[in-house]
Amino acid sequence: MPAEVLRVLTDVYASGCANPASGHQAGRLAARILKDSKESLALGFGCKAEQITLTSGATEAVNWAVWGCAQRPARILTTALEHAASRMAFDILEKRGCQIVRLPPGPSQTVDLQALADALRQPADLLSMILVNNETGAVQPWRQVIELRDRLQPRLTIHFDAAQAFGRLNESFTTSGADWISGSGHKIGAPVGIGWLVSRSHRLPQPLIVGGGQQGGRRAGTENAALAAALAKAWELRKACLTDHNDRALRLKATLLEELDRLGVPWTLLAPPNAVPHILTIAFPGLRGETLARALDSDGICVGVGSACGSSHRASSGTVNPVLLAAGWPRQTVSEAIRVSSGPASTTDEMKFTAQQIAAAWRRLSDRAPRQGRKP
Amino acid sequence: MTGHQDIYLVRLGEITLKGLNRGRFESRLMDNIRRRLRTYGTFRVSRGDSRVWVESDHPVENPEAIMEQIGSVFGVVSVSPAWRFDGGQNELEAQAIRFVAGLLERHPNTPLPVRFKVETRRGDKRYPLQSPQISARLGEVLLEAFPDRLAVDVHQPNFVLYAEVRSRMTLHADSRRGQRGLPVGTGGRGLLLLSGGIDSPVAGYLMASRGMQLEAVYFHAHPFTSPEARQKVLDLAEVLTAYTGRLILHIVDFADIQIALRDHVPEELLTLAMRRMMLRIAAGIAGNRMIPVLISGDSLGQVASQTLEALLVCDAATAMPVFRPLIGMDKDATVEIARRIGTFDISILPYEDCCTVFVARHPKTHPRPDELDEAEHGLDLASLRDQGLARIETLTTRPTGARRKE
Repeated sequence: MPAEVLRVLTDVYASGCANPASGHQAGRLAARILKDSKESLALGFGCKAEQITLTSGATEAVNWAVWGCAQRPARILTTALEHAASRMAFDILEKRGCQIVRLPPGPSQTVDLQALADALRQPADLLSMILVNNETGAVQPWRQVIELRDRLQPRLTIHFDAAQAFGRLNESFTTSGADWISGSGHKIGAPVGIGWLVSRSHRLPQPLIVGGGQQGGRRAGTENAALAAALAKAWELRKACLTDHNDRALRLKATLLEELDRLGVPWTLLAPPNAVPHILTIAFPGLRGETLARALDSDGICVGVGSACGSSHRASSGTVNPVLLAAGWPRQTVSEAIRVSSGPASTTDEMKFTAQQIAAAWRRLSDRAPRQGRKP
Repeated sequence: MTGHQDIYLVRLGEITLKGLNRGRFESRLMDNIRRRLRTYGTFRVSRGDSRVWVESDHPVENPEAIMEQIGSVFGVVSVSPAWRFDGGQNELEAQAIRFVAGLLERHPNTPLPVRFKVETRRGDKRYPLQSPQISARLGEVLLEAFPDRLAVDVHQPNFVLYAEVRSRMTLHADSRRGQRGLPVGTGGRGLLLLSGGIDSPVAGYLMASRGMQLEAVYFHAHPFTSPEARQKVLDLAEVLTAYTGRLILHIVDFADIQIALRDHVPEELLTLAMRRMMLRIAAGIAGNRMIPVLISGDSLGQVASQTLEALLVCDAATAMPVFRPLIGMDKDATVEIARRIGTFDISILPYEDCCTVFVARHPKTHPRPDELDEAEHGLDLASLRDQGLARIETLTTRPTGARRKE
């Protein structure tokens, strides 16, 4: 988290602001901070403040979009490449009698547009897909998706899970024609604990959380002015350096791969060419991803295995990342994958160090690494 | 009316059958009880009338916890909370009414009238009433005091009130079952090969129940195995201390040894080669600690490495005997014990230990000793063993949950 964001957070907490719904002075202060923050965020997103609903994170926003349209036996189109936040929700909806159409990935690990066009020939209630895959960084052809919708089923609601896209793709999704777009604060340098759903119109999912009628009844629960302010600041900072951030991520990716080549470590990149460069899912032969991740953890390097949101359930072997399997990678390769993410604060030296530690771990631990005296 | 003193009456089973050694067993048991109660206050532990008495000179805050602690000491058949006091027949009757009032309060759900009987033991033969007379008199007094709530039933009582008349008077009624077995420390010392699984903690428990004092060894293979797997073993060790007392745990860094074995040994023999190396290292630790025997949780035929041939091949790796208390037990029976002693829920957490990381698709189930010797040929076994012995972290876990690095 950038220092400026932390400062905003602590300043607001220290200002003595209270529940923004309270009429007293401290409450009014919180309400003003909240209103300013939402307006600043709206300006950055290119929408109006009323279009933004703040949530506890992207998981809640995604859940809201998915559950909120499932009041009747719905037909929902999605992909086989979703984050657990929607994947698990769809699994439950399916058990409850909804028809879930999981579109297969095409050769570039993005949705097969022909399959989507076919699926759109029957009426559906929702089309929900992840915009940038959290495992591979693959970017969905979202413009074509919206075009297809407009042409074949213009009234169909589209939800984009854009948790990985905000702050990485230099695009305005809020004006893209998608109806609902969810995002996550900590992916853009805000604190953990805040996310959002941006809606195109007044059409919204049924509320998931009800209670005191906050945020126009869309999402109940006392609003956190400090988190909102920190989010607005984080977005402002990220937006200003978005091009830099992307260029840097490209350079860092190249550095890692060049250094690995120089050190003679074979690797497989589990990402299509169009993937965002910040997410690097990479496999090393003969060495399980979780083993490598633990070795790197001892060196102070944090990498992911699968998606961090799901890996706590993956402590034992036998379960491998379903998204990477769906993307067509062999089970063996998927079990050997780690995910290296870079942020605005990552440096070339860190990437080189990471490559060196990977090389050291691979030579020591892999059963495919050349070692003296090994059995043939 | 004077007050009473809270005491605990501890019954011993097998120990009372011992001949000349009995004193040694009893002393050890009393020591173990003292040690177990150390964090709960000052207690006097003494013996008399073939039983052990635990007295506190202060009011006990949590009698249930004291009962549980005493009951978990091996050698204890049962334990009862009791009242002790001075005085004559009048005092005995008055205390009995108060004692039973407390008992009824603690068991409000027993259907009324609660059926009871009284049994008396008269050690002081000068006491004016004989045992049956004392029982009858106490019965009368209690029925008078609780006319609607009590009824006498000598055949199927809900509780038996025991009155003991000696130089001092004692009353007790309900008892809690103990762990039985023999006091830890009377059966020599053993080194338990502790994994994160279901079997090895049970094997340790069973040996401790026969009086063996344990230390344990765990083979950790970071980064092949996770910190969670290591924590799981620490947690299991902590549960075991409730029965074994203080437990010393040796954690061997096994990763490089495992890599060396994997690089040299054919895949189908790898698990056995690993187990042989673990036994060699364990025997080394045991030797250094003057421990004469190893303990493992093997059960015949349970997995590929537990066939008769596999077990023999493993035993051939070291001269030290290996005790396997589960060898003839079904998994169900082991699971039942694991549930009872509180290790099961930890054991089934899904973290791999180093035995399962490199498991072969088709491990050899009927190996010959010379096959293993051949597979290990070219490996410097002594230096690998010494490497293991040089990379040990030793922790002491106490029943209180305190853990200390040696």
